[in-house]
Amino acid sequence: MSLADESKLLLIPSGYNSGKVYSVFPTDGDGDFIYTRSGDASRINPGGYIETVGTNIPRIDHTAGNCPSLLLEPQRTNLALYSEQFLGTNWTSGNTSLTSNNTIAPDNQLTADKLARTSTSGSYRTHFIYKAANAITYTTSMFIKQGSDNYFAMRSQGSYPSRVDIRFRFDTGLIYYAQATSNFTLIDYNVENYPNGWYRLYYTYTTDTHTLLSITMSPRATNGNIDSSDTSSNSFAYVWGIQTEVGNYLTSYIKTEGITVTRFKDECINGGSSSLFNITEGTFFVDTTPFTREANDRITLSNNNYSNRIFISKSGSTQLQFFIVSNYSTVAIYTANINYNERNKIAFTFKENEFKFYLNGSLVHIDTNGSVPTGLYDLSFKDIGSSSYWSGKIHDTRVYDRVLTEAEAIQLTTL
Amino acid sequence: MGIVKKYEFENESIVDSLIKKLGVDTDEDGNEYSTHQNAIVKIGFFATKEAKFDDELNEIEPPVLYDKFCVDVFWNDENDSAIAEWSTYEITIQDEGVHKFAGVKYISD
Repeated sequence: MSLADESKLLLIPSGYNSGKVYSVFPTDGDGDFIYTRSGDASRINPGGYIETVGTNIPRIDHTAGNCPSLLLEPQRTNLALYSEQFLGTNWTSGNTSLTSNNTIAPDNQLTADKLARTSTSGSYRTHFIYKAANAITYTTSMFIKQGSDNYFAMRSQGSYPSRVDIRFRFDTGLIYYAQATSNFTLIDYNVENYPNGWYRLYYTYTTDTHTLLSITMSPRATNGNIDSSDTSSNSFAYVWGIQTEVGNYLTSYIKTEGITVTRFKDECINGGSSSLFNITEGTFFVDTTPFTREANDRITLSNNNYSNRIFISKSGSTQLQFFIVSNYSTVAIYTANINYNERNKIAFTFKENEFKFYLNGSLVHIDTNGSVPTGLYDLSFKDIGSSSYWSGKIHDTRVYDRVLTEAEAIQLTTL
Repeated sequence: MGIVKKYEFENESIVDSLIKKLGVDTDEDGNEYSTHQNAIVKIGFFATKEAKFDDELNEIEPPVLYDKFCVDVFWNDENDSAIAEWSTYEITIQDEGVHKFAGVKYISD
Protein backbone atom coordinates (compact mmCIF):
# COMPACT_ATOMS: atom_id res chain seq x y z
CA MET A 1 0.00 0.00 0.00
CA SER A 2 1.37 3.41 -0.89
CA LEU A 3 1.37 6.42 1.42
CA ALA A 4 -1.38 7.96 -0.68
CA ASP A 5 -3.64 4.95 -0.11
CA GLU A 6 -3.37 5.38 3.67
CA SER A 7 -4.65 8.95 3.82
CA LYS A 8 -8.03 9.76 5.33
CA LEU A 9 -8.41 12.63 2.89
CA LEU A 10 -6.57 12.73 -0.42
CA LEU A 11 -7.04 15.59 -2.87
CA ILE A 12 -5.18 15.19 -6.14
CA PRO A 13 -7.09 17.68 -8.26
CA SER A 14 -8.63 15.93 -11.22
CA GLY A 15 -12.30 15.21 -10.65
CA TYR A 16 -14.74 18.09 -10.48
CA ASN A 17 -18.26 19.21 -11.17
CA SER A 18 -20.01 22.53 -10.95
CA GLY A 19 -19.35 23.79 -7.43
CA LYS A 20 -17.36 20.69 -6.42
CA VAL A 21 -13.76 19.53 -6.31
CA TYR A 22 -13.72 15.80 -5.67
CA SER A 23 -11.23 14.18 -3.34
CA VAL A 24 -9.84 10.75 -4.18
CA PHE A 25 -10.37 9.62 -0.57
CA PRO A 26 -12.74 9.19 1.10
CA THR A 27 -14.99 7.88 -1.63
CA ASP A 28 -18.25 8.70 0.15
CA GLY A 29 -18.06 12.43 -0.59
CA ASP A 30 -17.07 13.47 2.94
CA GLY A 31 -13.77 14.80 1.66
CA ASP A 32 -15.11 16.74 -1.30
CA PHE A 33 -14.63 20.50 -1.39
CA ILE A 34 -17.13 23.25 -2.16
CA TYR A 35 -15.89 25.42 -4.98
CA THR A 36 -17.24 28.87 -5.82
CA ARG A 37 -16.38 31.43 -8.46
CA SER A 38 -18.84 33.76 -10.14
CA GLY A 39 -18.46 34.24 -13.87
CA ASP A 40 -15.95 33.04 -16.45
CA ALA A 41 -12.25 32.32 -16.06
CA SER A 42 -9.60 30.66 -18.17
CA ARG A 43 -7.41 27.62 -17.64
CA ILE A 44 -4.96 25.53 -19.65
CA ASN A 45 -6.82 22.42 -20.78
CA PRO A 46 -5.25 18.95 -21.17
CA GLY A 47 -4.40 19.78 -24.79
CA GLY A 48 -2.36 22.77 -23.64
CA TYR A 49 -4.80 25.35 -24.98
CA ILE A 50 -6.37 28.24 -23.12
CA GLU A 51 -10.01 27.50 -22.44
CA THR A 52 -12.77 29.50 -20.77
CA VAL A 53 -14.84 27.82 -18.08
CA GLY A 54 -18.06 29.16 -16.62
CA THR A 55 -19.45 30.01 -13.20
CA ASN A 56 -18.50 27.62 -10.38
CA ILE A 57 -16.43 25.35 -12.64
CA PRO A 58 -13.14 24.63 -10.83
CA ARG A 59 -10.05 25.30 -12.87
CA ILE A 60 -8.06 22.11 -13.18
CA ASP A 61 -5.01 23.52 -14.89
CA HIS A 62 -2.53 21.71 -17.14
CA THR A 63 0.09 24.44 -17.64
CA ALA A 64 3.19 23.24 -19.50
CA GLY A 65 1.75 19.74 -19.84
CA ASN A 66 2.33 19.06 -16.16
CA CYS A 67 0.10 16.96 -13.93
CA PRO A 68 -3.13 18.84 -13.27
CA SER A 69 -3.37 21.28 -10.41
CA LEU A 70 -6.21 23.28 -8.90
CA LEU A 71 -5.79 26.94 -9.85
CA LEU A 72 -6.84 29.39 -7.13
CA GLU A 73 -6.49 33.07 -8.04
CA PRO A 74 -7.65 36.39 -6.64
CA GLN A 75 -9.92 38.83 -8.40
CA ARG A 76 -8.06 40.61 -11.21
CA THR A 77 -8.93 43.05 -14.01
CA ASN A 78 -7.35 43.16 -17.46
CA LEU A 79 -6.89 46.86 -18.18
CA ALA A 80 -5.63 46.32 -21.74
CA LEU A 81 -8.43 46.86 -24.25
CA TYR A 82 -8.87 44.70 -27.36
CA SER A 83 -6.53 42.11 -25.93
CA GLU A 84 -6.67 39.99 -29.08
CA GLN A 85 -7.09 42.75 -31.70
CA PHE A 86 -4.23 45.13 -30.86
CA LEU A 87 -6.12 48.06 -32.36
CA GLY A 88 -9.05 50.35 -31.57
CA THR A 89 -9.58 52.53 -28.53
CA ASN A 90 -6.35 53.48 -26.75
CA TRP A 91 -4.08 51.88 -29.41
CA THR A 92 -1.67 53.59 -31.82
CA SER A 93 0.15 51.89 -34.70
CA GLY A 94 3.53 53.75 -34.70
CA ASN A 95 5.16 52.51 -37.96
CA THR A 96 3.71 49.02 -37.64
CA SER A 97 1.13 47.08 -39.60
CA LEU A 98 -1.27 44.48 -38.34
CA THR A 99 -2.78 41.50 -40.16
CA SER A 100 -5.72 40.29 -38.12
CA ASN A 101 -6.55 36.63 -37.46
CA ASN A 102 -3.45 35.41 -39.25
CA THR A 103 -2.51 32.30 -37.29
CA ILE A 104 -3.78 29.89 -34.64
CA ALA A 105 -3.69 31.45 -31.18
CA PRO A 106 -2.98 29.81 -27.81
CA ASP A 107 -6.72 29.16 -27.46
CA ASN A 108 -6.60 27.06 -30.67
CA GLN A 109 -8.67 29.65 -32.57
CA LEU A 110 -7.66 31.64 -35.64
CA THR A 111 -7.42 34.90 -33.71
CA ALA A 112 -3.72 35.71 -33.47
CA ASP A 113 -2.41 38.69 -35.43
CA LYS A 114 0.74 39.31 -37.45
CA LEU A 115 2.51 42.43 -36.19
CA ALA A 116 5.11 43.86 -38.59
CA ARG A 117 7.51 46.78 -38.71
CA THR A 118 7.14 49.21 -41.59
CA SER A 119 10.38 51.10 -41.04
CA THR A 120 13.97 50.58 -39.94
CA SER A 121 13.53 53.50 -37.57
CA GLY A 122 11.47 53.22 -34.39
CA SER A 123 8.50 50.92 -35.09
CA TYR A 124 6.26 50.11 -32.20
CA ARG A 125 2.56 49.56 -31.48
CA THR A 126 1.33 51.13 -28.24
CA HIS A 127 -1.55 50.70 -25.86
CA PHE A 128 -2.43 53.42 -23.34
CA ILE A 129 -3.92 53.00 -19.89
CA TYR A 130 -5.16 55.96 -17.86
CA LYS A 131 -4.28 55.57 -14.21
CA ALA A 132 -4.39 57.33 -10.86
CA ALA A 133 -1.61 59.77 -9.99
CA ASN A 134 0.27 57.41 -7.71
CA ALA A 135 2.82 54.65 -8.06
CA ILE A 136 1.05 51.39 -8.89
CA THR A 137 2.40 47.86 -9.30
CA TYR A 138 1.29 46.21 -12.54
CA THR A 139 2.00 42.94 -14.26
CA THR A 140 1.97 43.15 -18.05
CA SER A 141 1.93 40.01 -20.17
CA MET A 142 1.57 39.08 -23.80
CA PHE A 143 1.65 35.98 -25.99
CA ILE A 144 4.11 36.08 -28.88
CA LYS A 145 5.25 33.62 -31.55
CA GLN A 146 8.21 33.86 -33.85
CA GLY A 147 7.62 35.25 -37.31
CA SER A 148 10.50 36.39 -39.49
CA ASP A 149 13.22 37.17 -36.98
CA ASN A 150 14.71 36.52 -33.59
CA TYR A 151 13.92 39.47 -31.34
CA PHE A 152 10.93 41.10 -29.64
CA ALA A 153 10.98 44.16 -27.39
CA MET A 154 8.42 45.60 -24.96
CA ARG A 155 8.28 48.72 -22.84
CA SER A 156 6.02 50.08 -20.11
CA GLN A 157 6.45 53.83 -19.71
CA GLY A 158 5.11 56.62 -17.53
CA SER A 159 6.55 60.12 -17.82
CA TYR A 160 9.65 59.73 -20.04
CA PRO A 161 12.28 58.57 -19.21
CA SER A 162 10.59 56.55 -16.43
CA ARG A 163 10.05 53.10 -17.90
CA VAL A 164 10.85 49.40 -18.00
CA ASP A 165 12.34 47.81 -21.12
CA ILE A 166 12.48 44.11 -21.82
CA ARG A 167 14.04 42.24 -24.74
CA PHE A 168 13.25 38.65 -25.73
CA ARG A 169 15.01 36.18 -28.06
CA PHE A 170 13.05 33.44 -29.79
CA ASP A 171 16.07 31.12 -30.24
CA THR A 172 16.60 30.86 -26.48
CA GLY A 173 13.01 31.49 -25.36
CA LEU A 174 14.31 33.91 -22.74
CA ILE A 175 14.04 37.54 -21.75
CA TYR A 176 17.73 38.38 -21.93
CA TYR A 177 17.49 42.04 -20.97
CA ALA A 178 15.22 43.77 -18.46
CA GLN A 179 15.91 47.26 -17.23
CA ALA A 180 14.03 49.87 -15.20
CA THR A 181 14.81 53.53 -15.71
CA SER A 182 14.23 56.60 -13.56
CA ASN A 183 11.08 56.32 -11.40
CA PHE A 184 10.03 52.83 -12.48
CA THR A 185 11.04 49.75 -10.49
CA LEU A 186 11.29 46.29 -12.06
CA ILE A 187 10.08 43.55 -9.69
CA ASP A 188 10.01 40.37 -11.74
CA TYR A 189 9.98 39.00 -15.29
CA ASN A 190 9.84 35.62 -16.94
CA VAL A 191 8.47 33.58 -19.83
CA GLU A 192 5.94 30.72 -19.97
CA ASN A 193 6.01 28.22 -22.84
CA TYR A 194 2.85 27.25 -24.71
CA PRO A 195 2.22 24.75 -27.52
CA ASN A 196 2.92 25.57 -31.17
CA GLY A 197 5.79 27.94 -30.51
CA TRP A 198 3.92 30.43 -28.35
CA TYR A 199 5.52 32.22 -25.39
CA ARG A 200 3.83 34.30 -22.73
CA LEU A 201 6.19 37.08 -21.67
CA TYR A 202 5.44 38.85 -18.43
CA TYR A 203 7.02 41.48 -16.27
CA THR A 204 6.01 43.11 -13.00
CA TYR A 205 6.93 46.67 -12.17
CA THR A 206 5.99 49.70 -10.11
CA THR A 207 5.26 52.87 -12.05
CA ASP A 208 5.89 56.52 -11.43
CA THR A 209 3.01 58.84 -10.51
CA HIS A 210 2.21 59.84 -14.09
CA THR A 211 -1.47 59.45 -15.00
CA LEU A 212 -0.76 57.62 -18.24
CA LEU A 213 0.88 54.22 -18.71
CA SER A 214 1.92 53.23 -22.21
CA ILE A 215 2.61 49.61 -23.14
CA THR A 216 4.67 49.34 -26.30
CA MET A 217 5.81 46.37 -28.40
CA SER A 218 8.05 45.85 -31.38
CA PRO A 219 9.20 42.86 -33.47
CA ARG A 220 12.87 43.18 -34.39
CA ALA A 221 15.60 41.57 -36.48
CA THR A 222 18.32 42.80 -34.14
CA ASN A 223 18.97 43.46 -30.49
CA GLY A 224 17.50 46.70 -29.14
CA ASN A 225 14.71 48.48 -27.35
CA ILE A 226 11.34 49.20 -28.93
CA ASP A 227 12.44 52.61 -30.23
CA SER A 228 15.92 51.64 -31.43
CA SER A 229 16.49 51.57 -35.18
CA ASP A 230 16.69 48.12 -36.76
CA THR A 231 18.24 46.54 -39.84
CA SER A 232 14.82 45.33 -40.99
CA SER A 233 11.88 47.39 -42.17
CA ASN A 234 9.51 44.42 -42.29
CA SER A 235 10.41 42.15 -39.40
CA PHE A 236 7.30 40.53 -37.95
CA ALA A 237 6.02 38.34 -35.12
CA TYR A 238 2.64 36.95 -34.12
CA VAL A 239 0.87 38.44 -31.11
CA TRP A 240 -2.15 37.61 -28.98
CA GLY A 241 -3.62 38.08 -25.54
CA ILE A 242 -2.11 41.22 -24.03
CA GLN A 243 -2.94 41.77 -20.37
CA THR A 244 -2.06 44.45 -17.85
CA GLU A 245 -3.33 43.83 -14.34
CA VAL A 246 -2.77 45.57 -11.03
CA GLY A 247 -0.83 43.13 -8.88
CA ASN A 248 2.62 41.76 -8.23
CA TYR A 249 2.28 38.48 -10.11
CA LEU A 250 0.88 37.11 -13.35
CA THR A 251 -2.56 35.50 -13.40
CA SER A 252 -4.53 33.59 -15.99
CA TYR A 253 -5.54 35.27 -19.22
CA ILE A 254 -8.63 37.53 -19.22
CA LYS A 255 -9.99 38.38 -22.67
CA THR A 256 -11.10 41.96 -23.34
CA GLU A 257 -12.65 43.86 -26.20
CA GLY A 258 -13.69 47.52 -25.92
CA ILE A 259 -13.91 47.62 -22.12
CA THR A 260 -11.90 46.30 -19.19
CA VAL A 261 -12.89 42.91 -17.75
CA THR A 262 -12.68 41.51 -14.21
CA ARG A 263 -12.31 37.84 -13.35
CA PHE A 264 -13.69 36.85 -9.93
CA LYS A 265 -11.65 35.09 -7.25
CA ASP A 266 -11.69 31.32 -6.68
CA GLU A 267 -12.85 29.79 -3.40
CA CYS A 268 -12.32 26.15 -2.42
CA ILE A 269 -13.51 25.28 1.08
CA ASN A 270 -15.15 22.80 3.47
CA GLY A 271 -13.36 19.56 2.69
CA GLY A 272 -13.79 16.90 5.35
CA SER A 273 -16.14 16.31 8.27
CA SER A 274 -16.02 15.78 12.03
CA SER A 275 -16.13 11.99 11.63
CA LEU A 276 -13.39 12.03 9.01
CA PHE A 277 -11.06 14.17 11.14
CA ASN A 278 -11.93 12.60 14.50
CA ILE A 279 -8.25 11.97 15.19
CA THR A 280 -5.94 12.36 18.18
CA GLU A 281 -2.78 12.39 16.11
CA GLY A 282 -2.05 12.78 12.46
CA THR A 283 -0.27 14.32 9.52
CA PHE A 284 -1.38 17.24 7.34
CA PHE A 285 0.33 17.52 3.96
CA VAL A 286 0.05 20.18 1.25
CA ASP A 287 1.86 20.33 -2.10
CA THR A 288 1.36 23.83 -3.48
CA THR A 289 2.82 26.52 -5.70
CA PRO A 290 2.04 29.68 -3.69
CA PHE A 291 1.73 32.82 -5.76
CA THR A 292 3.60 35.90 -4.56
CA ARG A 293 2.22 37.19 -1.29
CA GLU A 294 -0.18 40.12 -1.55
CA ALA A 295 -1.88 39.26 1.75
CA ASN A 296 -1.61 36.62 4.47
CA ASP A 297 -3.31 33.89 2.41
CA ARG A 298 -3.92 30.69 4.35
CA ILE A 299 -4.68 26.99 4.11
CA THR A 300 -6.48 25.86 7.26
CA LEU A 301 -7.46 22.56 8.86
CA SER A 302 -9.71 23.58 11.75
CA ASN A 303 -12.88 23.36 13.76
CA ASN A 304 -13.95 26.44 11.76
CA ASN A 305 -13.03 28.53 14.76
CA TYR A 306 -9.84 30.25 15.85
CA SER A 307 -9.59 27.90 18.86
CA ASN A 308 -8.27 24.76 17.14
CA ARG A 309 -6.46 24.88 13.83
CA ILE A 310 -3.44 23.87 11.85
CA PHE A 311 -2.59 26.33 9.13
CA ILE A 312 -0.08 27.62 6.61
CA SER A 313 0.15 31.38 6.11
CA LYS A 314 2.02 33.52 3.63
CA SER A 315 4.25 36.00 5.41
CA GLY A 316 6.69 38.67 4.33
CA SER A 317 8.18 38.68 0.86
CA THR A 318 9.79 35.24 1.02
CA GLN A 319 8.21 33.33 3.87
CA LEU A 320 5.62 30.79 4.85
CA GLN A 321 4.56 30.39 8.45
CA PHE A 322 3.31 27.14 9.95
CA PHE A 323 1.03 27.18 13.02
CA ILE A 324 -0.64 24.64 15.26
CA VAL A 325 -3.20 26.11 17.67
CA SER A 326 -4.92 24.07 20.38
CA ASN A 327 -7.60 25.58 22.59
CA TYR A 328 -6.50 29.10 21.54
CA SER A 329 -2.90 28.37 22.50
CA THR A 330 -0.22 28.30 19.80
CA VAL A 331 1.58 25.03 20.53
CA ALA A 332 3.91 25.12 17.54
CA ILE A 333 5.02 27.81 15.12
CA TYR A 334 7.75 28.01 12.51
CA THR A 335 8.69 30.50 9.82
CA ALA A 336 10.41 29.21 6.69
CA ASN A 337 12.02 31.03 3.82
CA ILE A 338 10.66 29.78 0.53
CA ASN A 339 10.47 30.79 -3.11
CA TYR A 340 7.02 31.95 -4.11
CA ASN A 341 5.75 30.83 -7.52
CA GLU A 342 7.65 27.57 -7.11
CA ARG A 343 6.41 24.24 -5.86
CA ASN A 344 6.65 23.67 -2.08
CA LYS A 345 5.77 20.48 -0.21
CA ILE A 346 4.79 20.98 3.42
CA ALA A 347 3.89 18.44 6.12
CA PHE A 348 2.89 18.79 9.77
CA THR A 349 2.86 15.76 12.05
CA PHE A 350 1.12 16.14 15.37
CA LYS A 351 0.47 14.18 18.53
CA GLU A 352 0.52 15.04 22.23
CA ASN A 353 3.79 16.87 23.01
CA GLU A 354 5.29 16.18 19.59
CA PHE A 355 4.83 18.52 16.64
CA LYS A 356 7.09 18.35 13.59
CA PHE A 357 7.22 20.52 10.48
CA TYR A 358 8.69 19.28 7.20
CA LEU A 359 9.44 21.38 4.16
CA ASN A 360 10.71 20.17 0.79
CA GLY A 361 12.32 17.00 2.08
CA SER A 362 13.72 18.29 5.38
CA LEU A 363 12.55 18.17 8.98
CA VAL A 364 12.74 21.90 9.74
CA HIS A 365 11.23 22.26 13.21
CA ILE A 366 10.16 20.28 16.30
CA ASP A 367 8.06 21.40 19.27
CA THR A 368 7.73 19.07 22.25
CA ASN A 369 5.07 20.62 24.41
CA GLY A 370 1.34 21.02 23.87
CA SER A 371 -1.96 19.34 23.18
CA VAL A 372 -3.38 18.38 19.85
CA PRO A 373 -6.10 20.57 18.28
CA THR A 374 -9.52 18.98 18.73
CA GLY A 375 -12.81 18.98 16.90
CA LEU A 376 -11.24 19.41 13.47
CA TYR A 377 -13.72 19.07 10.63
CA ASP A 378 -12.96 21.69 8.00
CA LEU A 379 -10.14 21.83 5.47
CA SER A 380 -10.30 25.06 3.50
CA PHE A 381 -7.98 27.02 1.23
CA LYS A 382 -8.54 30.16 3.30
CA ASP A 383 -8.45 31.39 6.90
CA ILE A 384 -11.33 31.09 9.38
CA GLY A 385 -14.27 33.20 8.19
CA SER A 386 -14.44 34.79 4.76
CA SER A 387 -10.93 36.02 4.33
CA SER A 388 -7.34 35.29 3.33
CA TYR A 389 -8.15 32.98 0.43
CA TRP A 390 -5.13 31.05 -0.78
CA SER A 391 -3.76 32.10 -4.16
CA GLY A 392 -1.65 29.48 -5.85
CA LYS A 393 -1.78 26.05 -7.39
CA ILE A 394 -2.76 23.00 -5.36
CA HIS A 395 -1.07 19.82 -6.54
CA ASP A 396 -1.86 17.47 -3.66
CA THR A 397 -3.39 17.69 -0.17
CA ARG A 398 -3.69 14.93 2.43
CA VAL A 399 -4.73 14.28 6.02
CA TYR A 400 -3.58 11.10 7.78
CA ASP A 401 -4.80 9.71 11.09
CA ARG A 402 -1.31 8.73 12.14
CA VAL A 403 2.03 10.44 12.56
CA LEU A 404 4.12 9.60 9.54
CA THR A 405 7.63 8.50 10.37
CA GLU A 406 10.41 10.95 9.65
CA ALA A 407 11.46 8.83 6.69
CA GLU A 408 7.91 8.81 5.31
CA ALA A 409 7.42 12.55 5.84
CA ILE A 410 10.74 13.31 4.20
CA GLN A 411 9.87 11.07 1.27
CA LEU A 412 6.45 12.69 0.93
CA THR A 413 7.82 16.23 0.96
CA THR A 414 10.83 15.70 -1.27
CA LEU A 415 10.50 17.70 -4.49
CA MET B 1 -27.95 35.13 -6.53
CA GLY B 2 -25.61 38.02 -7.29
CA ILE B 3 -26.21 41.27 -9.10
CA VAL B 4 -24.00 43.88 -10.80
CA LYS B 5 -24.55 47.53 -9.98
CA LYS B 6 -22.71 50.64 -11.13
CA TYR B 7 -21.89 53.69 -9.04
CA GLU B 8 -20.24 57.08 -9.32
CA PHE B 9 -18.81 59.26 -6.56
CA GLU B 10 -17.41 62.74 -6.22
CA ASN B 11 -14.15 61.23 -5.03
CA GLU B 12 -12.54 57.96 -4.01
CA SER B 13 -12.70 58.58 -0.27
CA ILE B 14 -16.50 58.33 -0.29
CA VAL B 15 -16.44 54.84 -1.76
CA ASP B 16 -13.58 53.83 0.54
CA SER B 17 -15.69 54.63 3.58
CA LEU B 18 -18.63 52.67 2.18
CA ILE B 19 -16.36 49.70 1.43
CA LYS B 20 -15.02 49.78 4.96
CA LYS B 21 -18.56 49.55 6.33
CA LEU B 22 -19.04 46.31 4.38
CA GLY B 23 -16.57 44.64 6.72
CA VAL B 24 -12.85 44.79 7.41
CA ASP B 25 -10.62 43.02 9.87
CA THR B 26 -6.95 43.26 10.73
CA ASP B 27 -4.42 40.46 10.47
CA GLU B 28 -1.53 39.75 12.86
CA ASP B 29 0.70 42.15 10.92
CA GLY B 30 -1.79 44.99 11.23
CA ASN B 31 -2.89 44.82 7.59
CA GLU B 32 -6.55 45.45 6.96
CA TYR B 33 -8.46 43.00 4.77
CA SER B 34 -12.05 42.86 3.68
CA THR B 35 -14.39 40.28 5.15
CA HIS B 36 -17.33 40.79 2.80
CA GLN B 37 -17.97 38.58 -0.21
CA ASN B 38 -18.68 41.22 -2.85
CA ALA B 39 -16.44 41.97 -5.84
CA ILE B 40 -15.62 45.66 -6.03
CA VAL B 41 -13.78 47.24 -8.95
CA LYS B 42 -12.59 50.81 -8.77
CA ILE B 43 -12.68 52.10 -12.33
CA GLY B 44 -11.78 55.62 -11.29
CA PHE B 45 -11.94 58.66 -13.56
CA PHE B 46 -12.05 57.04 -17.00
CA ALA B 47 -11.27 58.87 -20.24
CA THR B 48 -14.25 60.09 -22.24
CA LYS B 49 -11.93 61.38 -24.97
CA GLU B 50 -8.56 59.81 -25.71
CA ALA B 51 -5.31 61.70 -25.48
CA LYS B 52 -3.35 62.39 -28.68
CA PHE B 53 0.35 61.64 -29.08
CA ASP B 54 3.13 62.34 -31.51
CA ASP B 55 5.29 59.59 -33.02
CA GLU B 56 7.55 59.57 -29.96
CA LEU B 57 4.60 59.08 -27.60
CA ASN B 58 4.71 62.62 -26.31
CA GLU B 59 1.23 63.75 -25.32
CA ILE B 60 0.11 66.59 -27.59
CA GLU B 61 -3.48 66.68 -26.39
CA PRO B 62 -4.52 65.43 -22.95
CA PRO B 63 -7.44 63.07 -22.45
CA VAL B 64 -10.77 64.31 -21.20
CA LEU B 65 -11.61 62.47 -18.00
CA TYR B 66 -15.08 61.84 -16.64
CA ASP B 67 -15.53 63.98 -13.55
CA LYS B 68 -16.88 61.23 -11.27
CA PHE B 69 -15.05 58.34 -9.63
CA CYS B 70 -16.70 55.21 -11.00
CA VAL B 71 -17.05 51.85 -9.26
CA ASP B 72 -18.65 48.56 -10.30
CA VAL B 73 -19.85 46.12 -7.65
CA PHE B 74 -20.94 42.52 -7.99
CA TRP B 75 -23.13 42.06 -4.93
CA ASN B 76 -22.89 38.42 -3.95
CA ASP B 77 -26.39 38.60 -2.47
CA GLU B 78 -28.86 40.75 -4.34
CA ASN B 79 -30.75 41.23 -1.06
CA ASP B 80 -27.70 42.60 0.77
CA SER B 81 -28.90 45.44 2.99
CA ALA B 82 -25.87 47.52 2.02
CA ILE B 83 -27.26 47.92 -1.49
CA ALA B 84 -29.78 50.41 -0.12
CA GLU B 85 -27.02 52.40 1.56
CA TRP B 86 -25.12 52.61 -1.72
CA SER B 87 -28.22 53.49 -3.76
CA THR B 88 -27.61 57.24 -3.48
CA TYR B 89 -24.60 56.78 -5.74
CA GLU B 90 -26.04 54.21 -8.15
CA ILE B 91 -26.26 55.00 -11.83
CA THR B 92 -28.20 53.18 -14.51
CA ILE B 93 -26.78 52.88 -18.00
CA GLN B 94 -27.95 51.07 -21.10
CA ASP B 95 -24.92 48.89 -21.72
CA GLU B 96 -21.92 47.53 -19.79
CA GLY B 97 -20.23 50.96 -19.77
CA VAL B 98 -16.43 50.90 -19.50
CA HIS B 99 -16.04 47.72 -17.43
CA LYS B 100 -17.65 44.33 -17.01
CA PHE B 101 -17.29 41.19 -14.96
CA ALA B 102 -16.29 38.14 -16.99
CA GLY B 103 -19.33 36.03 -17.72
CA VAL B 104 -21.76 38.08 -15.62
CA LYS B 105 -24.02 40.60 -17.31
CA TYR B 106 -24.97 44.01 -15.95
CA ILE B 107 -28.19 43.98 -17.92
CA SER B 108 -30.11 40.72 -17.92
CA ASP B 109 -31.20 39.24 -21.25
